[in-house]
Amino acid sequence: MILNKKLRKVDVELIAGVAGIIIMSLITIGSATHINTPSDDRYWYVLRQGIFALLNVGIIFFFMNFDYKVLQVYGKKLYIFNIIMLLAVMFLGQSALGAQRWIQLGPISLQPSEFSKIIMIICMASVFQDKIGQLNKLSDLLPLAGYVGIPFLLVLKQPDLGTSLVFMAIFIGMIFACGVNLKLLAGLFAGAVACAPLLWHFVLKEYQKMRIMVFMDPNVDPLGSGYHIIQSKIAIGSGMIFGKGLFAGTQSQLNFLPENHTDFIFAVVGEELGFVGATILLLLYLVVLWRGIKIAQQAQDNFGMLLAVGITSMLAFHVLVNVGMTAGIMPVTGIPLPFMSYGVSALTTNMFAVAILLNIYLRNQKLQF
Amino acid sequence: MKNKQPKILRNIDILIVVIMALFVVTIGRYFILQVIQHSEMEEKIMNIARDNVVRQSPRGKILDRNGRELAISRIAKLLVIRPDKVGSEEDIQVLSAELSPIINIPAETIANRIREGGAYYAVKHGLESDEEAAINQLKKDKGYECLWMDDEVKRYYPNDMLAANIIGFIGMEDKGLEGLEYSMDSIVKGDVQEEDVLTDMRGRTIFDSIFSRSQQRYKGDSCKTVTLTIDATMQFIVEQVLDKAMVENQPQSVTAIVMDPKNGEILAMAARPSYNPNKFADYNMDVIKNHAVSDIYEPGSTFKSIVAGAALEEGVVSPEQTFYDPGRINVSDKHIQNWNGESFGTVTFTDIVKNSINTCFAMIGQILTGEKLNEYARKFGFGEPTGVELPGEASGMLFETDKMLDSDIATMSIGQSIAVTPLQLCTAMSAIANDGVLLKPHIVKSITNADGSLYKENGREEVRRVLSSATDKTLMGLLEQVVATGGGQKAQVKGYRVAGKTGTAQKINKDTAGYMEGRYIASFCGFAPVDDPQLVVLVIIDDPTAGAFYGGQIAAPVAGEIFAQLLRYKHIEPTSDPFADMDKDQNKKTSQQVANTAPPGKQIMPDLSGMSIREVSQKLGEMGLGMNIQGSGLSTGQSIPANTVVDPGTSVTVYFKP
Repeated sequence: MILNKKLRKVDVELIAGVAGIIIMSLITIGSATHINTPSDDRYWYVLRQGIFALLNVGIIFFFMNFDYKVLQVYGKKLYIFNIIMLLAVMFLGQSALGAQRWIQLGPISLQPSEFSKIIMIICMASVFQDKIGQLNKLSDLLPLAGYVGIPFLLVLKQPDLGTSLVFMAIFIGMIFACGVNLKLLAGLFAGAVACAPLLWHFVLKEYQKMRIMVFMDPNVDPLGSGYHIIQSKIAIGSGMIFGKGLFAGTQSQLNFLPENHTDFIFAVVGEELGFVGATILLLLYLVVLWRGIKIAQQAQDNFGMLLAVGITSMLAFHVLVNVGMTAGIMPVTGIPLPFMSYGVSALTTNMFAVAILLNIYLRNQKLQF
Repeated sequence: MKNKQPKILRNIDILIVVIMALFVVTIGRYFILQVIQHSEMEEKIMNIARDNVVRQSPRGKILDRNGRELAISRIAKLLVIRPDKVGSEEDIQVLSAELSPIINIPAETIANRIREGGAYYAVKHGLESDEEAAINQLKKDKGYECLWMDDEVKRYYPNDMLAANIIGFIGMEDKGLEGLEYSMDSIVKGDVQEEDVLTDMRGRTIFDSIFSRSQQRYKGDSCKTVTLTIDATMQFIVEQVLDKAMVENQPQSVTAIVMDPKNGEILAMAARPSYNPNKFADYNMDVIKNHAVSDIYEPGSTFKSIVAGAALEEGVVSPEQTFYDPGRINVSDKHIQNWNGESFGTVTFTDIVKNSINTCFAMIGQILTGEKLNEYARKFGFGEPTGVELPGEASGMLFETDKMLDSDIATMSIGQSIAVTPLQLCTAMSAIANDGVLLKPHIVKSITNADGSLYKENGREEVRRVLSSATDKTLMGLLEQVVATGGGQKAQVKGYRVAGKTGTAQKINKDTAGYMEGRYIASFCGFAPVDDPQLVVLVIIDDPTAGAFYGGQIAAPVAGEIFAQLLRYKHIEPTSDPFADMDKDQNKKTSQQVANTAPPGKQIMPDLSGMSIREVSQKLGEMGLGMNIQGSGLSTGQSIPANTVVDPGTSVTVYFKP
C-alpha cells in the first residue's frame, strides 16, 4: 500500500526519459561493438551494461525507502572519504591513456572520479544550503571555492581534466542557485580568462594542451590527436538525415572511429540514426534536464534544491561537452555521455543521481498533502 | 519551498535559458554537419575507406609441343614491412632480431632499411613454406601490424638452361624482357583485375567484394598458354651434342637449329654457351641473346646450295655439264681461289658442288648474273626477317642489284660479302628439302585460352615456290652427293640418306669490316632422309680454336650426330640396310646401356623422394623426362614408381609437401 502510494508520486517523465536513453544506449553499444569483438563475446558489452542497468534500478528502489535528507548528515564524512579515495587512486590506480583513473576491485575496475562527482554534489549541497543569498562578495565565495578546490586539484592531478571541469560546472550551477551576485560571477569569470595563460603553462599536461590545440584546428595532427575529432565529424556528417541504419555505419563499424562505444558513442548514433536519431536523443536528455530543474524548483528544502541543481548541472555539462566534442565544437576531454557511454562506474553514478532526483520529487509531493 | 528568494528563482531561470541555448546550438551544429555538409563528409569517408585493390593472375605457361612445361608461374609469398609503422628504435631492433634468423638476412640490414622509413619495404621475395609458417607464428604471437605477406607471381623455368635462349625470362612486374617471354608478353601476361573495395582502418578489405567472397586464386580470363613447336627432348639432345662440340672445338659459340621442312616448325633451336633463366642476372647479354635469329654472319659455302639451285632453275647449268677449274681467278682485282688453293681440272657441275669449288661457282655466278643471284636469294627468304615469333630478328644483308660489281657477283656466288641469319639459312634449306617450296618458320604452335579453348593455331604457311619440283629433286641429289662422297661426309648417318652443304667463312672483324686472319665460322646445313625429308639441321661453330676449322671437319660431324639421334628418336626407319659394322656398334651401345639398366631409347624413372622442386626438375630435365608439380616443399611421391622403364619425354606427376 505504501509502495503503491509512492509509485504514484514518481516522476514518470524523468523515468521515461532515462529509460529511453538507456534503451538507445544498449542498441548503440551493441552496434558499435559487435564487429570488433571476438564472435564468442560479440554482445559482451551490451550484456554487461544491461545487467548493471538492471542492478542500478534495484538500487534506486532500495534508496527510495530513505529520505534524501539523511544524506546531509554524512556531508563531512563523505567529503573526507572522497579525498581518501582520490588519493588512493593516485597511489594505487592503474593508468590508461596517460591517466591514472582506475582501481581494480576483483573483476570490476572502478573509476573513483565518477563516484566522486555525486559525492561532491552531496557535500556541496550540505555546505552551500546555509549560504543561500549570502554570496555577494568575493570573501563569501572563497571558502566555498577552497572547499571544492581540494578535490578539484586531486582529480586534475590524476590527470582527469574532464572530471575536474565537471566539479567546476557543479560549483557554478550551485552558486547560481544560491543566488550569487551575477556581477561577482562575471568578475570571477573575467579573472579566470586572464589566468588562462598561467594555467596553460603550468598546469596543463602536454597531451591536454595538444587536445585544445587540436580542438582549434583538428588538422594540426590528423593522424594523432586530431584523428578522433576528424573521424567523428566524418561519421556524423555521413549519417545525413535518417542515418545509415543500425549496424551499418561505415566509420563506426570499421575501426575508423576510436572509442566508439564509450566517449564517442554519439557519433555512432549520428552516423547510424542520422540527424533525426541524434535530435531524438538530445530531446530525451532535454526532458531529463528539464525535470531536474523542475524538481529543484519544487524541492522541499534548500538541500534538495541544491542537490537537484547540482545533479542537473552535472548531467547538462556531460551531455553538452560530450555531444559538442563529438561534433567538434568542444575540446576532447574524455567526458562520457550519461546513460549512453559504456562504463559501469559512470552508469552507476548517473543512476544514483536519478535516484536522488526521484527521491526529492517523492518527498516534495508528500509535503503537499 | 518556503524561503525562496526572487533572486534564486531568477538565477535558476537563467540556468534554464543557458542550458536550452546550448542545446539549440548543439542541435544546430548537428544540422549543419549532417544535413548541410553531408556530401562533403560522405566524400571524405569514401576517400578514407576506399582502396583500389589489384589482383594479378599468374603468367601463362609456355609448353613444348608435347605439353611439357618450359615456363610456369607459381604464387610466391613476399614479406613486406611498413617501416613507418614499426615504432621506436627499440621496436626496430626487436623486430629485426626476430626476423633475421627466420629469413637469413642480417638483423642490421633489416634495421637499417626500416630506419630509412617509408611505407613499403619488400624484405624477401619467394618465401619458403617454413619461413612463411614462422612469420605467421611471429605475427600471431606479437601481433605485428607493420608486417605482412603479399602474394606475388613468380616465374619459374623448371628445365633451367633448356631452351633458355628461345624462352627468355621476365623482369619485375611480370614484364617479359627476353625471348618469347618478351615477344609473347601481351599473350602470356597475367591478367590484372582491379576493384574499388571498402577497407577497414588497417586496410583490410571488407564487405562483399571479389576479394573477400572467395579465397580462390585468380586464374586470369585472358591470359593464355603458349605451346611451342619445340620438342623438349629433341632440344635436350641437340643441346647435349652442342655441349660436346663446345668441348671438342673450344669455339666462341655454337648454334644449331632443327626444323621440320614439311611445315616450317622449329623443333629445336639451341646455343652454347647459354644461361639459366632462373638466375638470368648472373649472366651477360652475349649468352642470353638468341644467336639463331639475331646474329648475322657470312654463310660461306653453305650458300652455294642456293646458288646451285638458282643456276639449275635458270638452266645455265646441268649436273653433267663440265667446267674447267683454273684453281684461281681474278674478278675485278679480287682473287678467288679454292679452299686448298689447287686446281681440280675439268670437272662436272656435280663435282663442283660436291667439292665446293669456289672458282667454278664464281664463274657460274657471272653467267647467272647478279640480278638473278639476288632474285633467288630474296626468293629463298634472305634479306628480310622470316617473321618467326621470336624477338630481335635480323634481316641480313644482300647487295643492291644495280650497284653490284663483278667482284661482288663472284663473292656472293661463294657465300661471301653477304650476311644472313642462321634461321634464314635453315629456312632456305628447308625449302630445298620441301620440294622447292619456301615455308614461313614457326616456333609457336598454338595459343590456348585460359579455359582451354584454342585461341590461335599456326599451321603450315606457304610463302612461295622457289624452285620447280624437278630442279629441286636434282639439287637434292647434288647435296646428297656432298654428304655421300664430297666435303660433307662426316655428316653421314649409317643407314640414312643425308644431304647438305658445308661452309667455312672467315670471320669479319666488326670494327674494321675486314676479314680476321685465322678466325673462322664453320657450318653445316642439311636435311635427312633425302627420299622424304623430316629434319633440317643447321650447325654453326663460331671461331673454333682447337685446330680444325673447316665446316666439313667440325660442323658436319656435329650435324651428323644430331641427325643420328633425332632420326632414331623420331622412329624413322633406315632407308638402306645398315652396314655390317653398324650391328657391332649397336651391340656395343646396347650392352653399355644394359649396364646402366636402361633399354635402348628408354629411361629408368629415378627415385625422387625427398628432393626439392628444383632438384627434381633438374634430375628429370637431364633424363629428358617431363614433370607436373603438385604442391610445394619436398617430394613425397611420384605418379610413376621409381625404376619403371619409360619412354623419353614421359611426364611424371611429382607430389610435394612442405
